[in-house]
Amino acid sequence: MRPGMMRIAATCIALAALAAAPWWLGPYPQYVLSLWLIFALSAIGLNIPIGLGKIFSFGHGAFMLIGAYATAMPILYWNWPISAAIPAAVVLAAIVGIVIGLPALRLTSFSLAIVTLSFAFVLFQVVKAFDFTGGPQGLFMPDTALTRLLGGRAVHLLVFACFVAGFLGYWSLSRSKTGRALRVLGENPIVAQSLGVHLLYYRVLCLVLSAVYAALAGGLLALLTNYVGPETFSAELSVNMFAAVFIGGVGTLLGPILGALFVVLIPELFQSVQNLSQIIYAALFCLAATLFPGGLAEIASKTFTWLAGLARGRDAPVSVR
Amino acid sequence: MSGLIQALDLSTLVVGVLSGGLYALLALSIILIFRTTGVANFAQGELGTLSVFLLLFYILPTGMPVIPAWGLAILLAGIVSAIVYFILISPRPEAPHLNVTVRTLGLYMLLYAIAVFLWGGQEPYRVPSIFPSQSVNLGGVQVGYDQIGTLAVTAVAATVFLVLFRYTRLGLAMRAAAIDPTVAVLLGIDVRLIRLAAWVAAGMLGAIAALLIASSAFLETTMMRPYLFKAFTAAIMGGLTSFPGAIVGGLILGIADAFAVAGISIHMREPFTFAILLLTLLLRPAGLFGSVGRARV
Repeated sequence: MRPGMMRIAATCIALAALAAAPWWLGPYPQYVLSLWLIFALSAIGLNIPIGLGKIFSFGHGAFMLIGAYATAMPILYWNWPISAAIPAAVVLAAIVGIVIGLPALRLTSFSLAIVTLSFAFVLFQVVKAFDFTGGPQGLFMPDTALTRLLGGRAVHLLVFACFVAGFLGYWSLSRSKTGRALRVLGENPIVAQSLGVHLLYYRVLCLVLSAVYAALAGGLLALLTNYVGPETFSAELSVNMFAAVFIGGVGTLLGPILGALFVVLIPELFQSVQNLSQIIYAALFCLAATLFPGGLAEIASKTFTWLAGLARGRDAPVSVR
Repeated sequence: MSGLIQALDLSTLVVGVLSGGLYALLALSIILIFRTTGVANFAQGELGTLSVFLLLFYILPTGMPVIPAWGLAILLAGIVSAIVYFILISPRPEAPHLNVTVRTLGLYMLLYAIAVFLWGGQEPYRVPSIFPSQSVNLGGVQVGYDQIGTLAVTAVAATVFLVLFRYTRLGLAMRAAAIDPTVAVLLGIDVRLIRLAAWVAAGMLGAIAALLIASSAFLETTMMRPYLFKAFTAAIMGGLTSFPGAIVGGLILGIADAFAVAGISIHMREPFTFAILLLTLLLRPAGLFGSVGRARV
């Protein structure tokens, strides 16, 4: 079998195993797996502005918050079906992305960094302040037809489908004309402009696409946990999502998925306030930002090619970077 | 009745100027680092919080009087900033500014995680103030000595800093390094040393702000968040490179949000500030005092 074929076969088996997880895993591992897929979806979305457009958005958690609350509130208050609530939440997040992005993206990336992080901070305060959004206690969602379907397994299938769609979406975007335009824009805005790339349009597009991914992930999170609370979406979440992409490897296909594993596993493995793992995570983030800009994906691929080189009895290939 | 409203407005103004001064002090430290290293230091607030924790858990238990203890805490903040500069900021100097900004975001996460791990269990804490707790009647408004003291310390710290930056050789070298690092190097300025000095000075300014904030309210791990957010807004309002602009921006913001809290609702403070931030970026992208050409990163 050719190596390419083997890779495709391995991917298919892995995907099938992921999709069928509820039938061979216990309820808790299955829950963690669904969480991971949701955060991976969100991280893939954040990789569009960071990895392609080199636009650093520190407010990704805010769009997840919008997705979660905008999914939960219509279901809770007006009995909307899920099939209407999630798309509406996604559209709302996209509109908010435009409103936030238009003033900030006209300027330096510096202002964008501040505006997006402030946005996450403010939104967290706002949902905490109003009774309508559940205040500090948050909102508990009713059981819906979907959450009862197949003994709760349907939510996992939905999450899995959205994850695969999101992954394929990023994959095709990164190879399309738009993706190339974004890459040029990220490398050098002046060159991009002289090639006919409309800077503001593509920058806003980047942010809006990431908002769409985040809102979808937020809505799925609300469905999975049956609960929406402000503490889930504090400014930490935004920073953690950013760190996930950075630790995993900016601009790579698999990096954000790897990085999201950290965001999910850290609170799940160490469920206490005084949390040593958060320190390790932050230290890893510092390390990736300071010394290994390629992140885990770079380290993994280097190790892999090095091992492959060893297996073939040749010298390890020289690093490209 | 009208007298009551007037008194309310005056005391609101005092509160506004007070918090505005603290925003301005923190904004000064952010602009100092931005001008010399081109980095938005997201860890500035957490560095300040760390110095207050050091004061409370390591300096005061030795039995040191409060005023020298504050001095030592401020000094320690400078040393911590220097360490941060060597470990986190100076490696891989060829990296783009945005990458270095990301590092400060990592530091913010790290310091916060450490603070929660070590001290998060029993928060909030009470920090002893260096000012007496009485208040005095000034023109019909009750003003606390701690408020007067906070304002005085803020004003002195800001003035000392501005004078140093404007009139000393170090300040001149800092300005030269900020305008063009390459030319500064050719003129015989050690730019690395200048950047180190900027980090130390900013760390000390941030520690002063954090000490004043903690002693007038409570010490918590998330204490500096709203202040950092406002300091960034003040810095943007001032045009990101202008020190007087940051002070004016901080004061406007402080007074505006004090009146928003008094007039509308306490919950409106952060959204109100955010609206000011977006409006400034929309109407005067270069800030009240800046020019577009100076934009970095």
